[in-house]
Amino acid sequence: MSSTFKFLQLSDVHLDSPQNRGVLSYSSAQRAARYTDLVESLVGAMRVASDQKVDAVLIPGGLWDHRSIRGETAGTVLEAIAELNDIPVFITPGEGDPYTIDSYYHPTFLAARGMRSWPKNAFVFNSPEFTTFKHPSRDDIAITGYAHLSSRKISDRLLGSYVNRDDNVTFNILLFHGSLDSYPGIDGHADRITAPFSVEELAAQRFNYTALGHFHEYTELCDENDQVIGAYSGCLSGRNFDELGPRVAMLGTVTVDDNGQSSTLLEPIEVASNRLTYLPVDVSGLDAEGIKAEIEYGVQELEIRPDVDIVCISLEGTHTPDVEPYSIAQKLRPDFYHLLIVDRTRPDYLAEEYDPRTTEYKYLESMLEKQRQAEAKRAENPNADTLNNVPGFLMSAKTIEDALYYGLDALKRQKVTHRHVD
Amino acid sequence: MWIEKITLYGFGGITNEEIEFGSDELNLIVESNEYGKSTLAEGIWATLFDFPEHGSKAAIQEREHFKPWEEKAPYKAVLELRVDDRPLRITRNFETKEVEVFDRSTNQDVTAEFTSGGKDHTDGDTVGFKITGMSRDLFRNTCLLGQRHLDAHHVGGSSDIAPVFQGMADTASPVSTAGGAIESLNDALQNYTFAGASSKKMSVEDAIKELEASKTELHQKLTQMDIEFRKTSELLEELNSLDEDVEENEPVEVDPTLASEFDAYRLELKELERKLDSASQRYEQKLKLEEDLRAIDMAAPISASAAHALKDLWTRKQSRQTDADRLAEDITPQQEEYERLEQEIRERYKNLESLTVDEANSISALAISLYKLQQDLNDLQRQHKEQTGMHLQKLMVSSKQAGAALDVLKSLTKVEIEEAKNYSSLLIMFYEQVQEEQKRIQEVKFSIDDIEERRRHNRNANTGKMLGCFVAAIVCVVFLIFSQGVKEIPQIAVIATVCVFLLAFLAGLVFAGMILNFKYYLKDDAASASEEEQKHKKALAAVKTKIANLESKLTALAVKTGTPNREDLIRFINEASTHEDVLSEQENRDQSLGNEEARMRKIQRDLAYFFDKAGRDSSVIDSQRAMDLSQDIQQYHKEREALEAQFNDIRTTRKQLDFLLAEIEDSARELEILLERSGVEVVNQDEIENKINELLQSDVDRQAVQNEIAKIDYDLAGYQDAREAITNMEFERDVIKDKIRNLIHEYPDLQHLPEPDESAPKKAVLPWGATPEPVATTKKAKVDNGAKKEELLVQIRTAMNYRDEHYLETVEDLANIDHELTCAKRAKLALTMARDVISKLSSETYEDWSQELNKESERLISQLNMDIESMAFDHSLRMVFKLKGHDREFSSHDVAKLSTGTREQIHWLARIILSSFLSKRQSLPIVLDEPFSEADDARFLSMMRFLINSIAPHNQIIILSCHHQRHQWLASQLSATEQGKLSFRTRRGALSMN
Repeated sequence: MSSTFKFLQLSDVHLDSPQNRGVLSYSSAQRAARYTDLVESLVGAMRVASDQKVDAVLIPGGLWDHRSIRGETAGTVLEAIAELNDIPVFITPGEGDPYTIDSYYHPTFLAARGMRSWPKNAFVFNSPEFTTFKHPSRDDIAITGYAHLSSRKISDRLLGSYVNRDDNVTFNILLFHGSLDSYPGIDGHADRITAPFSVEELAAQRFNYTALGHFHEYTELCDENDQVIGAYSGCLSGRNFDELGPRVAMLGTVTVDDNGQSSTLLEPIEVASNRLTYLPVDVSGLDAEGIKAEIEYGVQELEIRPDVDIVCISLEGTHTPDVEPYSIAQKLRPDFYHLLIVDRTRPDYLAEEYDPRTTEYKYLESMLEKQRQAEAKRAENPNADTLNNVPGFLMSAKTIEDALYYGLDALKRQKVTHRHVD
Repeated sequence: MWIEKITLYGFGGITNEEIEFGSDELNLIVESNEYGKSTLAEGIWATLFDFPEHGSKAAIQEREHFKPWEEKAPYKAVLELRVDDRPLRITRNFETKEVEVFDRSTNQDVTAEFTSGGKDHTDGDTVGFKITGMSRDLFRNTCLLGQRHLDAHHVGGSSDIAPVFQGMADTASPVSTAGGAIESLNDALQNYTFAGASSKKMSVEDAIKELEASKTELHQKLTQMDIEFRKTSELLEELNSLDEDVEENEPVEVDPTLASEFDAYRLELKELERKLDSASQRYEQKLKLEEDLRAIDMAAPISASAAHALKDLWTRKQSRQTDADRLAEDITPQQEEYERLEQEIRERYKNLESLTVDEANSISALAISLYKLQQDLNDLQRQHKEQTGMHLQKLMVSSKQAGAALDVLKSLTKVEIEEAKNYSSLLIMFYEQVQEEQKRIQEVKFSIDDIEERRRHNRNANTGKMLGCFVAAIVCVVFLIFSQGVKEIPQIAVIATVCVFLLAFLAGLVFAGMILNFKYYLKDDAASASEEEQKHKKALAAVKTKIANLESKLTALAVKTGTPNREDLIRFINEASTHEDVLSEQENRDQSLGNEEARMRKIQRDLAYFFDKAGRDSSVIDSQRAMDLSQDIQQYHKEREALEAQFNDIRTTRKQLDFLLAEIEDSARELEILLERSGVEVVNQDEIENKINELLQSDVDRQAVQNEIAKIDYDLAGYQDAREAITNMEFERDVIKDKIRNLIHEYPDLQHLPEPDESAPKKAVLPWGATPEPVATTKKAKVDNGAKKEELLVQIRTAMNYRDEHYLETVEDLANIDHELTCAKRAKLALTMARDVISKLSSETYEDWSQELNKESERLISQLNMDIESMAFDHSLRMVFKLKGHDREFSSHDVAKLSTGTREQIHWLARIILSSFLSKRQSLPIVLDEPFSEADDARFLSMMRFLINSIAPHNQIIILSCHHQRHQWLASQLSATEQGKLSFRTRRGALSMN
């Protein structure tokens, strides 16, 4: 007779992580709302776990941001987990939320702050070595994991050597906070790599399932037989332009049949009440009505829910002087729950006709040439920019483009408006 | 390029009309207001270029503005033109924005040739650009010249045309110049607007400083919180250790290898903590010093760079002052003698030291001019007296007659008098025409009589011929009758006689017929003469009708004035004119006398300036006094030169001294400027030294702090990044602590080992495996740690509560500041770059344009007989011109002082020079809308002649005007050849598109 193990997996909630980044700039009240959104997404996930009567909740790291997590938020997490009563919650601290003496994972710290201790259903891994917890109510389930003890990235291939499992149980589950070599997501930068591993290395460990944390895109890992051996559930809620659209927790069921064959079914569940969405709108050639229509079309196309989602409209392209895309988009603000507008448009000066004998023409040609040179230079050294003080570099193409339009503004309108987009 | 015809099917108020233009003629469209002349001009450029799709709101609305008034009319125009002898037709539909270019010589659609390719930043429709070689704006602003362009006040109330030229060179539009653009960019650099709804404004430089200061402050806040956080970790460790109770004095034994390892960790930990303490301490000192430095900067009355500059200047000034004092001491004895002699000269020639030798020469020249002018004036006055006497009598007579005439004419308006004069002139002309016509009728009559006479003569001749023929026929008949009985007569003779008879009889009949129809002879000539007679008679009747009309009008005017008849009215008008002439002649003479007197007064005024400067009485100035003054000044300078030569040695020293004093003065001035810029007010010069020392004190303090920072940097030189090094060391320390903790956790007895001796050598592990002696030790006493724990908990909770409250918010603020700082830095770079590039390119453009404009100016002025002798443009496109009869040059600023007519003439010429330069590559038409409205008749004629003779052969000229009479008058003043170049054009109906 086959047996199953049902779990809810979530990771990379990054509670109390900073929200402002570049043009994505929130007011104090908006930020407070965003912090609450993140907490509520976690609470929502716990509710799902309770409703679905899962055997365990697996959190492979990234629960909060170690440097900025606040006591109140951590307290809410403890309460939410306690609410699950008998459903055990297994947590492996990652490099962003390491197990240290000054972490809310640590009982000394909780006691020192006068906070409640972790509830009895919470199992926090606190060793840098792989250790195994038995499921408190099911002795056929063993959960193995390790903890990051500092915010330093781990360069060792921890799955490169044998990881102890409990051979006496049916379900051996691994919680692992690390970087998949072949991870395809846009957040897989080289500087984010910690505890790297490959699919083959993971498959060789022969765990029934591995709950992965660290990377933010939902990604399933299959072995050579196309069997799911693990998955990243990705971040629980989007926080920046790399984390757009629906974000999920994952409801999974591992089944082991009579022959000892294991199979896993995964079901992503969106628990966050809202999504971060990014809507680029090209206003070129459009009048006010056209811009509105384009925005409405984009909203439908991207399945944006204006009444709940956080929508960032990026206005792009060129416009005639009688059209003010920013003002037009501003008028739509009441239709949205939370609307951010980034105006990257430019006046359509380049479409005009210039006489080669005029300063205006010479200026345009000169600036376009400078821009071309800067772009060529940038191709040689992608990180070069005056603003980041790379020696020997003159000016970035973007800055020259700004200069071009500032100059044309001044020549044509005798008025210059500062630009606040990067 | 020549425009041959424009057809407007629907354009503004014009529907289905066309107008043709000549090529090398002056095309005149002289029509009343509201005729649509300006609409026509707009139609020309719009058909060539189409309306703008980009640019200002006003520009984009132009398409709407010129929509046909008539609802059903198509919004469309066709322009037929010739470009490099190639006949083209442009058909433009303004509604659908479609254009078609057709080659009329090959009957081919060549639209693609004019709408594809081009610069990558222009759109597809480049018809106008490719045909004219210039942009829409440039064409409109150079080839279409309205009165507004020539009006001195059309540019922001300024009469200076330079901004117009600069605007054209910069942006092809007279209203936007690079100067204005640079001003806007500087304004943007000075008034940076922050993102969001903030109304805070400051210079970009200050904004960057402020943002950087905020960033540093936030960084420090975060660093401080991080330090506190690290301390919290230590406190937590301490708290942990307090929780472990131990028994007192219990002897224990520990494995020596473990004890050695344990000691090694502890020693390593001690060393690391020592390093960490030192580095942290130095780093914190550095942060503190940096903060002090900022505080000094904030508190300093002037910036660091200003303080450096101030220090340099002050040191330089002091050093120069020392040198100057030394030199002054050296030259004192000689200097005193020199000063005594100099004083003597000064007293002798009081007040003359301020006058130069050049001024003495000027005074001398003015004195001579004054003398000559006085002579001329005397002559003129004498002549004037004589002339006045002579003319007075004439004037009296004229006045007497004219007095009556003037009384009569009082009842007429100026226009009516003018009309009466015109009617009179026309009457004379028409009387002459009547005489002419009558003479011609007489001539025609003579011609008719002549024809009659010739007919008569012809009929008589024919009668003779007829009679001759009949006589010959009768002779033949008689011969035949008598030859019946004579046998010897040969048969041939009989036949010949019969033939002669028949011929003579027939000829007689013919001549008889001609006699009967004698009027067929010269029938055409007679008809022509008769027709000519009728024509002249009609013309005569028409002229007589005109005469009758004019006479009745004149009679009506005569009745109005109460004059008995029109002849008297005309006489009165003429007498009034004569009176005016006499008065005018006298007036002219008075005026020239007045002018001479004015010139003399001017010279006297000029001299008065020198007299005042020399402190001499300027109430009465004559040439002799002026000459004396000039000689005195020259004498003064001679004696001064002699004195200088005598004391040549000290002069060199004095030069050095002067140079030093000048340098001191410059330094002092620069110091003042620097202090003023830095917002430091120095009221008393005596206090300046104290004030500067006070200001430099902050620099001294700054230097001291910087030295301290340099020392710390030297101490921390071993670490690439001190902060990171401290974090790393803390991490290493934590790792070692963990290891120690783990060891204690595993072997609790280790914690009772005494502190290791740092100076003792490490115990080696014996290679042969001998077991070292176990280390004996005792457990520490159990102590009551309640109070200590409480103290630690308070510290931890305070620090963490503060962190909870501020850390995240600070990180968020820092992200915002970072973004804003990037934007501000980018704005600064971009704005500065835009300003510098525009400034450089604008200067280059002005220089290029000034060269080209000057070439054109020289060429055109040589062909123009006007008041302007020369016109040139400098490298800022500012105009300088010379007028005939004036010695000096005028700048564009002076234009406002000139008469309206001269002003218009100057602006017109400048615009023509500009048009001529810009249409050099492709000869373009010039459309003048109501030009020369302010010019007097002579100037008007001169400028029109210039257009006909010099411009029209190269550029097609189209003039739009509503002054009908003026252009008729113009025609009467031109030579026959010039008249032939005048072509009056008018609109006519075109075939409807519908």
